[in-house]
Amino acid sequence: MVADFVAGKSNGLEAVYRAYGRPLYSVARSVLANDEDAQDCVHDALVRIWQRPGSYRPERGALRSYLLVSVRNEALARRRNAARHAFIEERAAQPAGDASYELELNDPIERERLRRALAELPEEQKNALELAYFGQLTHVQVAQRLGVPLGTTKSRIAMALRKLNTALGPGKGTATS
Amino acid sequence: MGEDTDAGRHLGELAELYALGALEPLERAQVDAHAAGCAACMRALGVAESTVAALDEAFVPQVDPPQRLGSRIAAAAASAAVVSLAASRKRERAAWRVPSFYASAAAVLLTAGVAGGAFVEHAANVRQAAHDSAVLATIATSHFNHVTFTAHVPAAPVSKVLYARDGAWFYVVIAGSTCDCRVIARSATAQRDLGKPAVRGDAATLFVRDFPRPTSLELIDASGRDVSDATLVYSGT
Repeated sequence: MVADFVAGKSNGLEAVYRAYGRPLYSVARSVLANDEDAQDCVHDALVRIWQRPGSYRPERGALRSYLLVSVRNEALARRRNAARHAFIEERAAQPAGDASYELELNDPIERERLRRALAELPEEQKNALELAYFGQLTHVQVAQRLGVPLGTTKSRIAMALRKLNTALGPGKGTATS
Repeated sequence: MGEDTDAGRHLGELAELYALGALEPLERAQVDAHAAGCAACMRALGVAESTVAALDEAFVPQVDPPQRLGSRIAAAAASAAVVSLAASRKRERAAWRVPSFYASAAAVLLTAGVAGGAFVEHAANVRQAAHDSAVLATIATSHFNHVTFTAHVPAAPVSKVLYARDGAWFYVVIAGSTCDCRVIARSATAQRDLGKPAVRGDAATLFVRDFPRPTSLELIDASGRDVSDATLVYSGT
């Protein structure tokens, strides 16, 4: 499936959509909060990647992760471009650790690992990560929100994500399909 | 760009920010450009992406996509398959002949004052033909204006943009195949990095439909330098 997709074959596109269409649409829907926009976003991002040989290379890591991040970035760009920041601000204003973010991870072991890793993050790293991920803010906006220098903000976000990766264990960051 | 190491300047923490969607468009473009030529940073991006994917799996409520999205994807795949088959048969019949739609492309673009010779090059990637057909059909059935980019540096490539009078689409054409430029579009309310135009023979092109009524376009080179720009004017504005 991955080879066919990378090679730009028609069956590769359809197979990838069958395998990952649900999580891709879910991510786009969660960012854009609109069915039509989410459909356009997934369609355009997926077809663009499929039509451009070399945009994804297997040595980068799992195709699923790459597509999820690509769709998330596309959705965020559309959202920001539409200048509809009010909703983002509202979400970002929620207090850190808000219980409305429900864990839905299917694997209970992994879910517990992630929950524990998030809880164990230093408060300043957790706040920065939450504003970036849940709040969907850019690092510049996170720095402004927290009132700390840009470099410090970038370090806190990156360090938080690296700790989560370590907590998730081997294989999570190196899968290739 | 990021951290200085013995191996040079790498992405460092930008990899995590990229995966989280926390970078501005220009920064994202710079990350893409760097990772394309740096295996270590590409792997770092992959690791960060896998962690964000785990967060997505954990926190994003899963929703079944509408049937229509699957149909659109299937249509895109089928369209490419049909074009691929047709192109294959056409090559078998008359490999030396210029495919008719490329000739049409040249005619349309020459009418608009653009050096469209690049379009008669036989495309190696036949999938692109489906995209080209749709682009040319759009151009052929639209009323459009065109404007030449104003160079800001001596090495700026000759470039032009065709754009629909109602602002529904625009088409950037850059003469020469060596331009390593990205296109930045701006409107009154938005700005977006649209990426690199696709090199087609002796020209590079980019057709955009999802950024309505841009007021200006800018070409930036790999170092982020402003190479040239164009102002788009619409009737009644």
